[in-house]
Amino acid sequence: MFQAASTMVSGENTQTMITEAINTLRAQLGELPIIGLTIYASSKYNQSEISAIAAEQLGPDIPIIGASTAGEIAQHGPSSTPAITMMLFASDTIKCHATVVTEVTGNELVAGKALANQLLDQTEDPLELVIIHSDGLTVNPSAILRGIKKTLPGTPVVGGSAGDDGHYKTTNQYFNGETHSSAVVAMAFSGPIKFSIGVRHGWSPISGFRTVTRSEGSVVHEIDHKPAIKLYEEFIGEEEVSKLTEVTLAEIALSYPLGMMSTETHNLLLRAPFYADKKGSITFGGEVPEGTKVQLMMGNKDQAVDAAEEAGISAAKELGDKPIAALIYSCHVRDSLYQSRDESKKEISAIQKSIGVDTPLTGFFTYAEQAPILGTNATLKTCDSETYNETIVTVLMSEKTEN
Amino acid sequence: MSINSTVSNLVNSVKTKIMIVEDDTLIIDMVARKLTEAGFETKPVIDGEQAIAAATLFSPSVIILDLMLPNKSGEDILKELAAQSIFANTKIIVFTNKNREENESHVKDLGADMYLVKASTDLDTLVSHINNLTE
Amino acid sequence: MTDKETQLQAEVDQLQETITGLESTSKMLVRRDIDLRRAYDNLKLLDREKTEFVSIAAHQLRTPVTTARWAMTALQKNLSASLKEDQSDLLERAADSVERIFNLTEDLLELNRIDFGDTPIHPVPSSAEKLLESIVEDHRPQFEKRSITVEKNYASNPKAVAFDPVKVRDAIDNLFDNAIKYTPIGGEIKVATSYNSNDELQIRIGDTGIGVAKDLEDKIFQKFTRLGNAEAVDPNGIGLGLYVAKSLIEKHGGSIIYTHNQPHGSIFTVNIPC
Repeated sequence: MFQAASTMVSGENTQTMITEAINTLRAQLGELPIIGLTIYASSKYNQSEISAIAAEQLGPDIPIIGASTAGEIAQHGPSSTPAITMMLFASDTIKCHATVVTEVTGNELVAGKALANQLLDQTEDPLELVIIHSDGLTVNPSAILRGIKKTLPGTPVVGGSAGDDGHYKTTNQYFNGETHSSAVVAMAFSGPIKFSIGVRHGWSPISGFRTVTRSEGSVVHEIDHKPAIKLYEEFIGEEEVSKLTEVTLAEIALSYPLGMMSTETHNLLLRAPFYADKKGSITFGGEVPEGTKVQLMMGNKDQAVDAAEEAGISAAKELGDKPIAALIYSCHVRDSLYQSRDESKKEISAIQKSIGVDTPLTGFFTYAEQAPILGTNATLKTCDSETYNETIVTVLMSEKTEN
Repeated sequence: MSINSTVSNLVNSVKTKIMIVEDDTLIIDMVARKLTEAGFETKPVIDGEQAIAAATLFSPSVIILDLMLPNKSGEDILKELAAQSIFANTKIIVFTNKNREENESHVKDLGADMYLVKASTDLDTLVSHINNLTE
Repeated sequence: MTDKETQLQAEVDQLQETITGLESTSKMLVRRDIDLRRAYDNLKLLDREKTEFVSIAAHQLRTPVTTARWAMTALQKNLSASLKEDQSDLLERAADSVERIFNLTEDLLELNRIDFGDTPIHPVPSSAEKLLESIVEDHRPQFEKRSITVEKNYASNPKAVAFDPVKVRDAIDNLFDNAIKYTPIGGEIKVATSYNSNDELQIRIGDTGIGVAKDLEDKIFQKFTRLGNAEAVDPNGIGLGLYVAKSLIEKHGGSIIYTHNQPHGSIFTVNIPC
């Protein structure tokens, strides 16, 4: 058997909130053994308390991972006030294994490999699915994914980078009672777990391909040997584009991300322009290696919601069963585009059309998302995981039954 | 207004005293006239700054208080009235054209007993409210 | 180059041309997008300014309306005995005019509050049936003057439903006022309550009046909309009543739906979730 229970709480006293929430979730799961907890919390709360209190409640044997967010998501939609959202998993056949690697900045490849090895060390059983959360500000998740792939090729990796409500100051990653920054935490599932992943963004290309001729990590200096900003100016006009230098994630950035052809997987990923400097270099929400082919993309709220619906439909179809649990990692940029949580709720409801509003659901608005691209079950094992911006990722879980 | 209170006012020969703080001369005129007609002793005060001094001298049972006054706001006057024990038993009717929704609870927190919107209250109704407060 | 290569090159060239063409189109689209955003932002600003202006104006109007109303009441009371019929008539019309200005300023202020979210609702368990009874009785002099009959059909198992009695009363008042206004002399109004399978309270107000033309049904709930036939009956309304009613009910998570009455007239159904 495999069950999940989820809840979201908000208030003043984290001790009471988390303790009561965990008790409620436990009660819902009855006698079935607890196997793991995910906990995502607003950066407004005292970060060191979150996983410490959860660990205190669950004891040292239950794996816990989590992250600070740019908005919390649960069954009734995204929170309108700072909240803590949790999902407790229980099963007598499936198991969870969690781990952490700290001081990742600059060592992402090594960290990814270590992360995968640490998970492998915990069980003889094959790892079916890995959920990761890395620091959304100081760590390059694409490199972590490459590291994981070296040790765990063929295991789908899914997740969201930790956020901090759009302050862009510090994010936190939780592991078994501890809190870290510049770290990556992971939870792997082994056993007869069945799952599917839906990934969509909803943006459409409006330009042909250009080439990134000079870049460093997530900073693109030149496209086709001209300052990166020229591509934006060509299509959008200097006046609007100048806002990219004034504000982080200006309004114009929300609708016009860059689409990049991943050199590894030949799939289109989005990159959100966070800000531009005076020289015309643009810092994006993820790495854009030199030589990458890029296109300007255009989108709006309606397309974004439609995309969420498609992600839900595709994941539900791939799963085939009624899901036992759903996780959603949606980009902070999408949430900003919607402008109000009432609107953001539409994309969660769009997914719930395919899975039912009664399916336990948790997730958060992230600074970047990780998932295998357009993974159908047939390709999940071979299709590599990538890092996205402005994308919504949904993971549906159920249990494999003997056929 | 009830016959009984006019009779009892006359019988007691002590008219209930009402002070009206209002900067619009036409309004204060009409209210004063109506209240006098109804058997009250009235004192009009047009300048908010004079309100406390006038109330100290006049000792009204009821103060009808506008909120939008040029020199001192009705809210400030309410605060000053609340601060002095001599006004502990004085009933205060805020009589204003400001929206009830945004102002009533704040004004009542400051010590007002009633909130009436001038434009929607006719003078007979004002009189019966005063009578109810002074029974 | 071989023939195949030449052909391929030609196709590549053509594709490139297509892409360039499409990019021009994209640039046009983006320009339009930017223009629209700017226009929208400007409109929002103007809307705010307009609302503030209306608010200020309506507030300023309250003072002279206050004194005019008081004066009218006093005059009607003091002069009723001594005026001739045509003078008394004139006075009544003046008093009505002042009332109309008063209603207008109150409507405008309420409108602003609704549009800008300053009307929180305070739901308490309430009886829709009692509310309707009270509204019907309040309006009795008006509809009896027009020989209109009012038929009541309340649900057999009424429930207490959480809603803000003041706001919902405002909304139903609007609907009932309209029913009386737009139903000819001798017509019929039906009020009914029911509770449907979706756990919603339904309040229905139907009349045998002028109704609404089929293609204009969705316009009637818009601000300041007055349809031709309504204007003929009442040239002085300003078309806010239905907008205000709808907004108040929507704040409860409910809705107001219009349907035609047979053979003519209107049925307004108010849905409020329980």
